[in-house]
Amino acid sequence: MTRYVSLRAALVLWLATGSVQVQADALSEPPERWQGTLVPVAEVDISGAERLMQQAIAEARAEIAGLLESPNADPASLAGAYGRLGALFLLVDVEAQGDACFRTAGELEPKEFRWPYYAGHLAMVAGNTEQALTYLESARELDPEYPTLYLRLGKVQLDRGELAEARAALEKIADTPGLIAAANYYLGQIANLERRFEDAVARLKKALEADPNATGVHYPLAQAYRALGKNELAREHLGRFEAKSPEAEDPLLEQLQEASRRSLPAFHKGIHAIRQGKYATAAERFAEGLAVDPDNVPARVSYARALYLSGRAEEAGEELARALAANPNELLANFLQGVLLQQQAKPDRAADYYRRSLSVDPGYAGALFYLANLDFNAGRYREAAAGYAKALAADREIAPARLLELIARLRAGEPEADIAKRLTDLSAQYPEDPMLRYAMSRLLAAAADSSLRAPEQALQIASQLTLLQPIPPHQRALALAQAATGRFEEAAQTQRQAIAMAAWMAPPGERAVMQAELDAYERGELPEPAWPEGAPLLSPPPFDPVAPFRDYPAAVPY
Amino acid sequence: MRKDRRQDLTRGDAAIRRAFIYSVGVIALAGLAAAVIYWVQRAPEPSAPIQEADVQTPRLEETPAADDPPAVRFTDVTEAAGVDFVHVNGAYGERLMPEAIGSGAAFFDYDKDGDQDLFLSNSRYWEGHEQGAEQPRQVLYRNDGKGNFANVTEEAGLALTSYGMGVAVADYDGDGWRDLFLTSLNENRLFRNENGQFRDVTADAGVAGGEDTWSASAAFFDYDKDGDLDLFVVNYVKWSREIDLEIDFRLTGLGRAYGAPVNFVGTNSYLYRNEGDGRFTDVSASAGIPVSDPVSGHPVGKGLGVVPIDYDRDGWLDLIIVNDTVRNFLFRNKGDGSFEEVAIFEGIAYDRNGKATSAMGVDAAYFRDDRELGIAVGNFANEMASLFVTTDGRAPFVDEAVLEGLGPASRIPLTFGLLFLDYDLDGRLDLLLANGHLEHEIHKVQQSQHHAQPPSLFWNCGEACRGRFVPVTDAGDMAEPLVGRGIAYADVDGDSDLDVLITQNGRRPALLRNEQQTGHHWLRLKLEGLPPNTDAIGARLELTAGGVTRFREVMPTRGYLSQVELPVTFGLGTADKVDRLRIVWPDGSEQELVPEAMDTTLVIEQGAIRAQ
Repeated sequence: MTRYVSLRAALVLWLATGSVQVQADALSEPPERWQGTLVPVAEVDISGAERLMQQAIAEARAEIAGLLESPNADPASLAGAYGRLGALFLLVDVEAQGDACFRTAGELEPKEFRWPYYAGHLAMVAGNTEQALTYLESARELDPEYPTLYLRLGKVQLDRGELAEARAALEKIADTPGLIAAANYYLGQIANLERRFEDAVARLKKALEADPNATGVHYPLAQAYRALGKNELAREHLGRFEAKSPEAEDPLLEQLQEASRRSLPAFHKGIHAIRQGKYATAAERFAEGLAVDPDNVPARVSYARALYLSGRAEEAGEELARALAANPNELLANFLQGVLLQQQAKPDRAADYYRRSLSVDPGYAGALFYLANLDFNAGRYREAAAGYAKALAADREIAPARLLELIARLRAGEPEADIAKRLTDLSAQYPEDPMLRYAMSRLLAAAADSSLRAPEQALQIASQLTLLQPIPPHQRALALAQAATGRFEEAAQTQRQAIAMAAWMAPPGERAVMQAELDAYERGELPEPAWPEGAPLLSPPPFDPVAPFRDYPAAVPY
Repeated sequence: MRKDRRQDLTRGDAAIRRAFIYSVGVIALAGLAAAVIYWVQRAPEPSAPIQEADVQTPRLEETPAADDPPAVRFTDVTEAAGVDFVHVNGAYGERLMPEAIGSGAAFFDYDKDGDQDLFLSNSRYWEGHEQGAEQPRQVLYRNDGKGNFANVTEEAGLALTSYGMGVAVADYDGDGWRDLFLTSLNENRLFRNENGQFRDVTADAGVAGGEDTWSASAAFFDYDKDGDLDLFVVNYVKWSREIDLEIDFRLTGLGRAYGAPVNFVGTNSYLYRNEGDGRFTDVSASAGIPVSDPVSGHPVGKGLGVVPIDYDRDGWLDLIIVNDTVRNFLFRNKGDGSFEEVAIFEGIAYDRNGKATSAMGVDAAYFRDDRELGIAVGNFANEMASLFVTTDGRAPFVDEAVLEGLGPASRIPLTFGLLFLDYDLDGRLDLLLANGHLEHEIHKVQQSQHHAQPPSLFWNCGEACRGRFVPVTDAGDMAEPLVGRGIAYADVDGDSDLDVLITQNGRRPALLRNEQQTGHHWLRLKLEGLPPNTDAIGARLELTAGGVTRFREVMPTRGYLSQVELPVTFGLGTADKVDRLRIVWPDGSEQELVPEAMDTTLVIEQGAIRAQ
C-alpha cells in the first residue's frame, strides 16, 4: 500500500504549500513536445465549487503548466500532477476534465493501478457504466488484489443488468472486513431483483450487522419483507430508513478526500442533519466546516441556527454576532438576531435588527411581518397596518397578515364600512382562509355600524366553521351570531360549552373575557366590539422563536 | 453529472429565502394553534388495513418473439405536415429555471371530424426581454385526416400568450366536445369547447390555481365515480425570478446554470372536484393531497408527471405523481373521496437504493401482457429510468429497469417524457423516451452529455430476450438528437399505426411519421361512454387474440405535460382473429364482445358497437 501513501503525502504537501503562480494555461493546448501524449484539459468555469477547491484547482493547473514548460519534467512527476488535478475534478464532479487528467496520467504511467481505478470510479459516478467497466477491468489487470475494486465492479455490473457477473464480483468480498456491509447490500438488491426475497433478507440483515449506521439498507430490506407479506416488519424497517448507504473501505479514495481541505462535505452533512431534526449533530458538522473555512458567513449563520435549536441560545447569539461582524448586511443574521432579542423581551432592540434587514432588502417579508407584529402588540396600529401591507406586497401568502392589516386599520380609526368591504373582497379571494371567515362572522354579527350587520349570514358562517372545527374560538363566534339573531339562550349555552372546553387551557384574561360575554348573553345583550382585543384569532400569532430558527429557509446556507 | 442536482451536494442546497413566506404562514398558524391549544382535534382515524388481493397470474401461451427489433423507421414530417410551431422559452441568459422545463402537446379531436388534431403549448418571452419580437401563443392545428395540419388557433379562440407548460384534454361538461386545460407558470386556464370554438371559462370554473403557482402536468379523471371528470393538477416548485437569482445555482465547470429543484421549496398539487354544473371545487385538503415534510412543515411535492391508474384493481382510479429530486407519490384512492399516500410502502417512492430520483415523466401499463403492472419513470441524466413492476400482480413494486434492459440504456440520457406504445403493432407495448439536457454546453464538462439527445426507443421483445426492452438503433429520424420534453402519439395519417410527436424546448417539435410495414394486424377502438364522461376516460379494455390477453386503459394523460389520443390501438401481430374483447366502463359496467372485423376502427358505444 506504500505507493498509495505517496500520492496522499504529495497532495497534502502540495495543498499545504500555498499558492503557485498561475501561468498561461498550457493544459488546454499542450506544448509541441507533449502533443500526442497528453489529452487536452480545457479550462472551465469553476465558480460553482467551494472557494478552497477553486483555489486548489487553479494551483494544480498552474503546477502542471509549470511542469510542461520545464525541459526536465519526467513522465512520473507529470503523471502525478495530472492525477492530482484529476482527483480534484473528481471531487467536484467535473467528469470530462477529470477523465482527461486520469487518461493522461495513465498514458504517462501505464503500470500505475490508481489511474484507471480513479478513472473507473469517476466514470461510474458519471453514469458511464461502459467506460467504467473498461477502466476497472484495466485496473484489475494491474492489481487484482485490491479488494474494493470488486465492489466497484459489482456495482457497475449490477447497474448494467449483468446480475450473474455482479454477483460473482460481490461474493468475492462478501466476507472481507470493511466491505461486508456494502457487498451484502448490493447482493441483497440483486436478490430482490430476482425475487429471491428470503435471500435478500439474509443478505441485507448481514449488511446491517456489519454497519448498523447504514440506514439505507432498511429500504430494500423493507421491500423484501413487504414482498414476503411481513408487513409489520416492512413498516418497522421503513421507519428506520434514511438514505445512508453502507460505508466501504477504499484507501485510495480516502486519500483523495483526506488530502483535500474541504469544508463542503461537513456543511452538507450539517444541512442533512438539520433536515432530520438532529440539531446537535448539525452544529458539530458546521463547526467542523467552519474550522476549515472560517470566513463562510452563511455557514456561520447556519451554525448559529443549529446551536439555537440544540438548546445553546447564548452561543447562537455569539455566532450571529460574529457573522454580522464579518458582514453587517447578512440578512438572515440580522433577522435571527432580532428574533433572539425579541425572545429576550427586548422588543426595541429586536425592532432595530428587523429594520437593519429591511435597510438591506426592503422587501424582506420576515422582518416586515415580525416588525408589524411588534407594532400591533404595542398598539401602534397605523404602523402595524402599513407593515402588514408591505409584508403582503412582498408575498401575499402570509395569510395572517391579511386579517391583521384590517384589524390594525380599524383600530387606527379607519371607517368600519371600508374595513368590511375589504374583508368581503379578501374573503372572496381566499374563501378557504378560516381567519377571514371567523372575522367576517363576528363582524356581521356585531359590527359597531349596525347597517353592516347580517346576523343570519354570520350564523351560517359560524355554524360552518364550528362544524368543520368545533374549537372554542369558533364556538364563541357561533354564540355571538346566535345572540345577534336574538337567540340568547342558545348563545349562552354555546358559550358555556366553549368555556368548559377552554377552561383548562385559556389564559385567565381570556377566560374573563369569555365569562363577560356569557354574562352579556344571560342579560340578553350583545357583547362588543366585534373584534375584541386579545382574541387569539384576531391577534398576531404568539411569538415562537424556535419556528424561524428551524423553518426559515436560507438561500445560501454555506 | 447527476450529482449536481441531488440533495446534499450543491452549494445552493437550501430552500429559498422568499419561501420563508410560506414558513411564516406555517409559523403563524402553528402559533395560533399554540395559543388555542384546545383546538386539539380528535386523533386521526387509523388507516384501513391494506387488502392484499390474491391474483393468479395467467399462463402465457405466446410464441417467443425473435430478438431483433423489426425494421420500422420514423420520418420527420414536421414541416411537410404544416407544423411550423416553435417553442419559445424566453431564455435571455439568466438561466431561469422555467426556461428549461416546457412544454407539452396533445393529440385530440377538437372538431369531431374523426381525426386527431394537435395542440402545442408555448411559453413566452420574459417581460422586458422581448427584443422586439411578438409574443408567441398557444397553437392549435386542425388535421385534414391525412396528417396535414392547418393552424386554426385564431378561429378556435386559443390565441393566448402564457408561460404555458402542460395540457390536459377531456369533455369535462359532457356535451360531447373535448375541452382543454392549460397549465402554466402562473394561472392555469380552462377552455370550454363550444362546437369547435374555445371559450375561457377559468374564472367560472374556479381552476386557475395560484397566480404564482407553477403547474406542470394535469389529468382529467373520475376520482369519485360520480360520472363526471374531475381534474388533478400537478404543481412543481415555488419559484420566482428573484428566488432563482438569489439561489444563484452554479454547476462546477459551467458557472450559472438552471437551478436544481432541490434548492426550491416544494408545493402541493390540486385536486378539483367537478360539481357537474361547470364549476370545480378545490378538494385537495379534504382529499388528502397535501404532503408535508414532518420536520420543516413545507410541502414535499415537486411534481412534474402524473398518470391515473387503478393499480390495486379495486375499481377506483389511483394517482401516480412523479417528483423531481424528492420521493414519488402514489395516492391510493380510498373510495370515500379521499386518498392515502402510500408510495414508500408500495415501493415506487425511491430508486433501488432508496434514493429519490429527479423524475420527470411517467406512464403505466401492463407491458408483459399479464397481471403485472409496470410503472415507467423518466429520470435525470445519470439516473436510469425506473421500471417499477408489481410482484405476483400486486404491490410491492420492484424496480426492474436493470433486469428488463431499460436501466443501462437509459442511464446516460436525461429523460423527460416517456410512453408505452406498440409502434410495430406486434401487440406488445414498447417504450419511447424523449431526452434532452437542460444545459446548452453540458458536454464541456460531462463528456457523455449533450443538450440535444436522441430519443430512446425500446422494442418489447417479449420473453425471448434477456432484457425485454431492446434498444432500437435504426429507427430513421427517430435517431436524430432533440431537446426532447413531452411526447404524444396518435395515428395522424389514418394508416393505423402510431405516429409520434416529441416537443422540444426552445425549438420546433418533431412530428415523426411511423413508416412501419410489418403487415401486422391491428384494431383501433374508440369508446363512447355515457354522458358526462362521453369519451369513457378510465375505461379498461382486455383483448384476447392469439392466445394472449392484453390490457389497456382509456387514459390520455401519460408521459410528461402531454396527452395522447383517446382511441386505443391494439396491435395484433400475426393473429388472424380477435377471440374476445372485454370492456369495463368507468361506471363499472362490463361489456364483452367478439369483434368480427380486424384492421379497422371500431366505435363502441356503451352497449352497442359500430365500425367506422
